[in-house]
Amino acid sequence: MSTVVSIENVSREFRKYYQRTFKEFLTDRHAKNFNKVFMALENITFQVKDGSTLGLLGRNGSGKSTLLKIISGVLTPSSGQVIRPVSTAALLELGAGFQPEMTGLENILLNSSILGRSRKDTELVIDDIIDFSGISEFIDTPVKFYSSGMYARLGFAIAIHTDPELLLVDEILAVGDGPFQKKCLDRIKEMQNEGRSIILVTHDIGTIQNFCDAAVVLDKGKVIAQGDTKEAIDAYHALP
Amino acid sequence: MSGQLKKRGPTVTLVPAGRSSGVFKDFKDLLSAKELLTALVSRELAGKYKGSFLGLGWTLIRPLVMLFIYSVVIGEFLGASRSIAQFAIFVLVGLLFWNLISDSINVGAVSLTTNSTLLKKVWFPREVLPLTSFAVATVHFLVQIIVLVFAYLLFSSWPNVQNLLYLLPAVLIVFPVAFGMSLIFSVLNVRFRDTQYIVEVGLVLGFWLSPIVYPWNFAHQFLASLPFGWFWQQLYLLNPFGLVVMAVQQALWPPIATAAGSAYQFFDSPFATRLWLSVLASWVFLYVAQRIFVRMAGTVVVDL
Repeated sequence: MSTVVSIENVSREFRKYYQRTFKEFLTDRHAKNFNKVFMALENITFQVKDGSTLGLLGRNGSGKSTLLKIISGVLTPSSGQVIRPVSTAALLELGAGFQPEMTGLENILLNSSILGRSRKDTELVIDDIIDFSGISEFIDTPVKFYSSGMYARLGFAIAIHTDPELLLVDEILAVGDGPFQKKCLDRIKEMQNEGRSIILVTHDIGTIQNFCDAAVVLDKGKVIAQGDTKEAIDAYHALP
Repeated sequence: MSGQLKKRGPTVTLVPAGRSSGVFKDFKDLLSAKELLTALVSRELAGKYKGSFLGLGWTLIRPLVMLFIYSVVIGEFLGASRSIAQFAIFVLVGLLFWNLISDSINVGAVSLTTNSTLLKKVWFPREVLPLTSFAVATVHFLVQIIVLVFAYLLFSSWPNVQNLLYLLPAVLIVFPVAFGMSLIFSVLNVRFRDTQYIVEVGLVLGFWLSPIVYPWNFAHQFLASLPFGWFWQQLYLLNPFGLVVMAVQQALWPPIATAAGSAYQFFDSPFATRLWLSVLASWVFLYVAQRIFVRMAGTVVVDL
């Protein structure tokens, strides 16, 4: 099986010191910790096999979400590189870029184009999106009147219908109520069967066991274990 | 929905900021995002006037009020129309282009900070956001042309068709300089929030340092009377937007070709040369601006 995503020696540092105004920049330039950096990720290297699902496991602050953002392209790496398919959908923040004044339907078209899908392609799946979100009754209502649950449902429905080769998922289980969660998980299973590759960030062992073919465990920005899920889970439990 | 995944598509290589693969690659990426641009522009336009009765018609109100102020208050009360024929059209022409410039830069400068939620969550060519500001300002500009046509009808005089050629260099300066400045100011504003206020003040200064409400030769004569007069004159003419305003007055202000406009005739061949050199410089500027933008935009997300 070939590789769909290749993460090569990726590091990411953040400045510890932060200044907002030009005056602060001038006056604090010589402060002791001005140039101190914090390594969020250090020399991460791993591959994702075509059509497989990889779990990213780690505690809070281990760098999982930072890595996912680098793979999506929202953050650039400080060094190293990531090779991934152009056709990638990220379920990082659902409904990012929704325009409150616009209706659900208008936002479907807008959001799909933000996610890189052409208008023509979107129109083909628009009924599926509305159907999946389960809010067809309110699709002509401006989204500012939506509840947070409706907001997330619509966001999820749009993202999942962009026909991606690679899907990046951060903590899917936080979406919606029980039945909708089940629907999401079923849909992700379906996408696996369709041969799409998935990278899934979680700190839930159950999700890893149910969904993943392989897993990578991160701790303090470093890979401490990678390989099959059982080994990874053991390594995760062995963390102090 | 789409069922079985058909085949493997192209891949992208994500590298550290500043190691971009060149301006042509970036341009191609920007082109591929044209649907997003269209969507964002209609979002801005629809969002701005949603729930208002006049809608996009509101964009006509400002130039109409300006037209009133400059033709009646400045033109008649202050007497400016005694030295400049068809003073209202003279001002309106410069004003329409100035609004295009200042709106696109003012909104462009905050385009990254106001869309922070989008930037933090989705990847797309970041140039799209400043470009959206320019496109939105262009739409308003095109609507406001109606006011100009209205003013021509009012004075029942029309510009010389041949002179319209001057619009070409004007447009070729406005786009690269306004878009380029939006690129630079938008990334700077993420780092230093002072930028947007400096830009605001700078644009007010730019308005009065461009020959919009006074003819260029008024400033020219005064500057000549100063010590090192030639130097100040040249400095004044370095302002690309000043040149744009002069070019569009040449194109769109009817008295330019008649005796009534003779007080304003300076458009000899050095001006045309200057204009085209300025076009060249503007595109070089846009190139540099894009390089700076790419270098900084990769890291700004952290600061948002």
